[in-house]
Amino acid sequence: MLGRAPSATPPQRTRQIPGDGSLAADMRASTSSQPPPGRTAQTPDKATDAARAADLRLRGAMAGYQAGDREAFERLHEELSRVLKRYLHSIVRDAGGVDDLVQDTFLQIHRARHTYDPSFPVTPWALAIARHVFLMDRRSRNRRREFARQPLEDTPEPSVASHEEPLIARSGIRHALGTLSHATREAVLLHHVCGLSFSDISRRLRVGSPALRCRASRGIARLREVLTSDISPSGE
Amino acid sequence: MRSAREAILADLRPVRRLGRPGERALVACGAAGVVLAVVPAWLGVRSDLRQMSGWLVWGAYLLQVVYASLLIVAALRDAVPGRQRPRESTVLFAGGIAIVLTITAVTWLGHPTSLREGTWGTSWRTCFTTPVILGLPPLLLTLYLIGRAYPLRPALVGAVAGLGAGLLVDASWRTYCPVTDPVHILTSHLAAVLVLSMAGAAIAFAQARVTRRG
Repeated sequence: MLGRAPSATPPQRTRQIPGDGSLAADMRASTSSQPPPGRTAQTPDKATDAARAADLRLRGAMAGYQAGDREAFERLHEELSRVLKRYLHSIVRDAGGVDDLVQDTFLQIHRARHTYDPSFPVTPWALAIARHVFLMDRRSRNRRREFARQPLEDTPEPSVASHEEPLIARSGIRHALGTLSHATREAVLLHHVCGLSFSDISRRLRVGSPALRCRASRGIARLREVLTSDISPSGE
Repeated sequence: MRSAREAILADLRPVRRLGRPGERALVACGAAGVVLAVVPAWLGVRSDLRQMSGWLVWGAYLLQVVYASLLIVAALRDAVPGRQRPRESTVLFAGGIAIVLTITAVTWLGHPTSLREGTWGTSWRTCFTTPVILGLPPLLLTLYLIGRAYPLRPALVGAVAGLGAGLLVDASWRTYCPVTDPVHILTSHLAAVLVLSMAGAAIAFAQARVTRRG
């Protein structure tokens, strides 16, 4: 690799969010609170003080959460889930999916909790993660939609099976399932065979839904790979 | 809402907080400093160094090193959620390329040297492969530090980190390679910088995908 030397002849910031785009607008959408019925709106000074106090509470809770304090996490969860819900409601069209996204966001927040710096506010940090979760979810939905839109002509014709074929197929599937890791096989079987939703499986196994989706999708890809490699071109 | 909360409570334990981007950049720049020292110590300096203006050599060197360090700090900062500034990083990235092009033009105008005939292949191999290999340790270390954070735009962050590592190595490499011909610089030096940048983007992207699968 090393040859001779070449010889020469001398002669507080804005980020994009879906919608109007700025973090300021994002924060307004997610942290501004409507006064409850029967109470008058706060004056700007009082509102600023309240926001500052809420921010300090969140920072304290987040620092406790980083230290492994259970109560601090409960406090953070209570306050932050409201903020996250409001934010996700403002950017998600399907309101029914907001709860799932909030759950996923909390799981990602848990993974990224060491990256939070207490000298900065908690909300922009959490909202950046929520936005990322939303984008990932939208991307995977679009992929699924594209797959469903594929024309039927592209689908291979099923061949007429002989009476031995179900037996052969069953042993083939068993063999293919055997090539998967335990965790992947579990995700594939619970979702695709038992028909459980990812949130049900997530609750049961205590594994995040995104991770389960990945495992199931990887598992199916691997099964497809193994099963198609078993079919020789001559059809034997 | 219960299940995520319960899963987190079951996994609750203290975590070590990530250092500030500047502090973490010091680690990456320390490794890069070793690379900067390796080239002149191991390979020596260019033969025509005394004939060149000090500004042309050390000014360009300093500019590239400072800018590369800035790129590494920016990449490490962008890897933290809520602190990313993608537009600023894109501008910094473009600025890095512009700096290489400007230095190339200025050194060619101030001290034009070309390759001897028939040495194109050897020179390309030396000036492309070696900087790529020398740039890998600081790049991988920076990517490790990026992976310790939680980059939400891993490809951009990796590309910026790769450009930073590439510029650091290129700054050092220019004190060794006596050729200032723009064709040579663009096809080998700049190509090595861009390859490191692309490698950074690809590795950071793959790393983020793997770590987020859980």
